[in-house]
Amino acid sequence: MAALPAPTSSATLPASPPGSAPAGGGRRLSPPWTPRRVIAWIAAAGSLGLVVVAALQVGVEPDRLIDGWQDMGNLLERMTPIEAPNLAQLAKPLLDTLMMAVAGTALAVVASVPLAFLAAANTSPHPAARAVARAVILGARSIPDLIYALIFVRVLGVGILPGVLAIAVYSTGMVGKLFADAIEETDPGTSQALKAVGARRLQIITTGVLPQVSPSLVSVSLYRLDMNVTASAVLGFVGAGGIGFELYTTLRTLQYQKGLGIALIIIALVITVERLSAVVRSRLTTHHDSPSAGGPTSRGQRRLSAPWTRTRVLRQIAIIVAGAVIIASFAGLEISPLTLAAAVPALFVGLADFWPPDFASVADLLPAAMTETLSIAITATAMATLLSVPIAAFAARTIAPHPALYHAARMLIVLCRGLPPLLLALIFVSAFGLGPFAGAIALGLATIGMTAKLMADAIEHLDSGPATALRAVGATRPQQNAAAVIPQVAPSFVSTVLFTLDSTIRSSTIVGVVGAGGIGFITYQSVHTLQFQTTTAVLIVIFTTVFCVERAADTIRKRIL
Amino acid sequence: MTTPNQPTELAVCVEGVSKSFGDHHAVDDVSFSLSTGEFLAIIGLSGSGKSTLLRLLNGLHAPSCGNITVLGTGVTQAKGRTLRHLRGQIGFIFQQFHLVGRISCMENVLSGALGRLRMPRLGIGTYPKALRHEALDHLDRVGLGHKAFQRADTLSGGEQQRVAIARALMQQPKLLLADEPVASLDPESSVQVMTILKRICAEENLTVICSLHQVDMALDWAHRIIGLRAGQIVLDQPTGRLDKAALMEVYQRPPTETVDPQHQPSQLITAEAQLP
Ligand SMILES: Nc1ncnc2c1ncn2[C@@H]1O[C@H](COP(=O)(O)OP(=O)(O)O)[C@@H](O)[C@H]1O
Ligand SMILES: [Mg+2]
Repeated sequence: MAALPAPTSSATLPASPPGSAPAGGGRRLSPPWTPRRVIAWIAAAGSLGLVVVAALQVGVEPDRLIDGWQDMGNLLERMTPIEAPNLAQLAKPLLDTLMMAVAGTALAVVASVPLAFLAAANTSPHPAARAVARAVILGARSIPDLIYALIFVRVLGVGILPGVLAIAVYSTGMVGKLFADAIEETDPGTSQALKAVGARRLQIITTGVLPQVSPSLVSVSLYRLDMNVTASAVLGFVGAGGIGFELYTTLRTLQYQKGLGIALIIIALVITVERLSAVVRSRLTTHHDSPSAGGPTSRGQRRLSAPWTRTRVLRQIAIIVAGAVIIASFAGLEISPLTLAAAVPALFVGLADFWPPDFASVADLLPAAMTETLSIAITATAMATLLSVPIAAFAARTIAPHPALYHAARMLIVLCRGLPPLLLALIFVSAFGLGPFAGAIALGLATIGMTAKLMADAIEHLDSGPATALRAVGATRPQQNAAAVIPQVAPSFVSTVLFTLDSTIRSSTIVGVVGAGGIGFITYQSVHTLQFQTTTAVLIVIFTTVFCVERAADTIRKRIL
Repeated sequence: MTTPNQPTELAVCVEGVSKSFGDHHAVDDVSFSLSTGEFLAIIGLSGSGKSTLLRLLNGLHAPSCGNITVLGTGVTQAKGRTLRHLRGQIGFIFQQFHLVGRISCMENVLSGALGRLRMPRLGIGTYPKALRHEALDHLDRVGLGHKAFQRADTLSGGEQQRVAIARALMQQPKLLLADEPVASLDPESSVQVMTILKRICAEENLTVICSLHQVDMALDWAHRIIGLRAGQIVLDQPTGRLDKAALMEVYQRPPTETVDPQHQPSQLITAEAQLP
């Protein structure tokens, strides 16, 4: 699952530089064992070993898998026929779910923009400000949104507000990081030109940097919105509002037929939002060439501001619509600036109970629980990778064997992306019983949507030159794929796998909330038995783990790309 | 320092200035001065320190030692407000244009006035009407009035550089620094850009320092040529009475450099400096 070694090239160049011939006199026929190559092989073997250990720990064994199929069959039997859900009854919680996602994302964007400018190396006014901003962003995203929701519900009471705040805090971390990265990638020349003009720092940001990053700000925010709809659909599991509550009570009271109906509606909602957001994002990246306009209007009166071209009108409409949706969401959830202003101090007062951390009470449980969490994540990542590679091969337009297969694979990806991991975990716990096995399988499936999509996109963006060259040589399609596609795409696949691991680690800390193994159960228990200082201790462990994995993944990614 | 606009004969005065990056001297003990209205070309091979010298003049780099006075203000001592004010009076044209691609030419030209804007105005969409009229006039002067509201990144290279010139004019500069302004343009656009530059400078009695790496260009456009080699001035003559031998010296590679092209010139130059 990790670094694929570079393919051995069969042709040796006639004029190899001196020193490359082995000492024995004969010409070298395979590449030398450079440190890089050795490390790649060790990494590959190591990760494979890790996966095996993790899978055994989670309980993936042949007979268990066979039993699993039967359990799944039984569950499906109990779930069918699907009971058509009462839409009139579900309309409000569904709308709440959507509005929570919108409101939470909006709050996160508002908070992240200034944070990101403070955190980006090229716009930060002072190293100290930068360090603080980065710490806030990092801290916010290292604890999963569901855990924020769990805690906020305890402090602020059951309802929608804790859900919105949980989404807002977690998303601030996610969005803030991407914003800061986008800012750091802007052209330094432009900023330098404005500096040379005598502009102030703030002017350089508004005039030089903001126009460059605005498309990525919008695209990141929309992407986050569609992730947040998935998240907000399950926040009800812990009492933070939305459709999740209905679903949880239904499944917990063993009304499986009704449960599946609700689940399908959630998936439909998530997919709808995901499609909408994808369409808007692709509109953003396609560049509309504005017609050359300007110059004198009528009677020598010169135009002083940009003309209202189609693009500009559309953009203005989009801004107004987005603003209206956001305001409507806050109004619909009955959250006003006053509510928020009141919630923040209440939150801080409530959080005082969480200090100092109490490690002693869980010291004997933590190591095992954390190992189980990691095993779930690793197993899920391996499973997602194995399943995603073939799906991606079909879902990449450039190498798909048949258009029908391409559409089927893309459909499957969209479906999987619509599955909230926690919802799947809950369903699998019903099928396989409590424990990490259900969690690993659930996460593995839930992640396929993202993993296969990233892989398929990577294949589609490949340079088609090498494959064409091989076709000209007379290579068959599989030969072309083996010799031209795989070597080119390998680094980005490795990076995708690391990204998957990063995401499954976060999710694996929460599946325990529904009994699917790992540290989530301890977190849940400690909050429910009001042992808040224990909660803090558990959170510190989660934070550290997520942080370390993210760092390691980042480092490896930078090395190979 | 408080009145940086004292009328002086000298627009630029550089005294014994060096700039090193690590142990590498990019600019090495350079002195020269320039009177108002002069058009000076700086020539030299790539890596000879032309860009570094120009950036020293508007304070984008701080010199390692030496003194620089521009328009009556000590660049070396200037900070914050004074430095911003000084930069406001110095137009700078970059080889890569450095426009904001996603906004219109008009907005790009207007950004040249940022140094003149009072604080609540942050650029983008907040420029007063008078400035907008001014920006259109400058666009007309570079022949691009009809493209005012087109996105900057939809223009050709030559056009983008003309927008950059209009942006510099928007500063109402007294000194114009141009760092290889035509190096990434085709010959035809190059001539067009240089003609515009020269005409405007004559009209406004602007002092210009322009780095170029082709001699013929320098001969065509400048009053005076300074040649840099490995950060040192090896030629400083009016275009009319140019010494061929001195010119050749500008384009000689440092002798050891051909031996090991991989090596950074840093040690080579120090080695050369130690020669008698
Ligand atoms: N910011 C910098 N950091 C380190 N070295 C630099 C930097 N800027 C320029 N140099 C070095 O200084 C020398 C002169 O560069 P430059 O002024 O850009 O030359 P030119 O513009 O004549 O091509 C080069 O050797 C370059 O590598
Ligand atoms: Mg240069």
